[in-house]
Amino acid sequence: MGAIHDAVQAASTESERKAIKAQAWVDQGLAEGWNFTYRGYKVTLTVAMEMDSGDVVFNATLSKSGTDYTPATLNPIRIVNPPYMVEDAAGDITIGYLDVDGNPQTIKAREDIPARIISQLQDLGDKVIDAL
Amino acid sequence: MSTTVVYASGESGRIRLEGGPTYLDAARNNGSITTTGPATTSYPGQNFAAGDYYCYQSFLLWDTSAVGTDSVSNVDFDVDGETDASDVDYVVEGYAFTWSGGGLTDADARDSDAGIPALGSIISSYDTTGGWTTTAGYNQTMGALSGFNAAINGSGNTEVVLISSHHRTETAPTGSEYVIFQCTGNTNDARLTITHAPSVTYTYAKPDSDISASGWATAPLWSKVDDPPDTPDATVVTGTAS
Repeated sequence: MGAIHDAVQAASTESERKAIKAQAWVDQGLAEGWNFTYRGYKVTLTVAMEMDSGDVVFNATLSKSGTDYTPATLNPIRIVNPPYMVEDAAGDITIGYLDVDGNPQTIKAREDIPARIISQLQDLGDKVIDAL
Repeated sequence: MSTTVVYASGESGRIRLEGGPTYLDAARNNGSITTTGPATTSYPGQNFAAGDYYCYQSFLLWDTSAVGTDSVSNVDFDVDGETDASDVDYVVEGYAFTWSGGGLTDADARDSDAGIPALGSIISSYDTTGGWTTTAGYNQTMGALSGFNAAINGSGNTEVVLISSHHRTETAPTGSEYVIFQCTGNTNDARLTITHAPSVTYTYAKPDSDISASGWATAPLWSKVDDPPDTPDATVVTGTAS
């Protein structure tokens, strides 16, 4: 399985698990100025991701055609206990659970930090854009 | 201002109350109980299946210590819905409830005769008549109310229990009345998006006059001061604002 998942599973405390996930985000090395376009808006990191007290902290802006739509309430952004997996039927991580009848079931997943960072920023972007 | 996004901690879980053929034995926790924590999925609601009654409760915990002493102005509570089994619609109600001591245990179950009425105000509310989104991602809101702002514990964990409105009213299910969402240790764990800012304390001194405000066309302006006034009869009003 993935290195992050293995480390999370091996950690003995919840704070250790959170810090491992957060460090995985920071280790992507996304620098100030990194950006992508979503729903016609440009999402830009204005302060690079860094660790702070076991969390991920960064600043981001949302702009379109040169106009800044970043709400004053947005920054800085702190992510606590960030996700690191995406569902993938061909993934190498198996998440087990019991259904309502008590029968064991599984979900397959894989590690994909870049996808989780993008989806997190997209979700924040949705909240901003939908409120415009 | 700032934004803190918190994903459910690994302590989160669920409890199933089973009453056999008697609904109130499930609702009032007089039957059998199954506690699962942590739980990768959770499903607040009720069920009547194969002649047996069940009540399901979800217990969620987020480490919100990063909020500190800030004033919270908004909370969004979102989940990744997995299954819609709400053949009969109901309201998923959220309550602030500290359950985490020693991890989730049978004792944390909330029965309808005493436990649920003691929970206090509803801080999140989602009516399943609005459907239950099961597409991947955080597409299902749990309807955080303004009371959720005050429920955020800036010095530790914020803990919530989700129950069915029909459990609260002891309305027996006739079939499936539950919805499933990803809880913790899954790909999309239950999430809070919190908007907050440092609390600002304003101190105002009463106008230097004993004239009744009723004699004024508008109330006299109170002067903002940095420190409480020295005059002993001056009234000081303090408060917080974002």
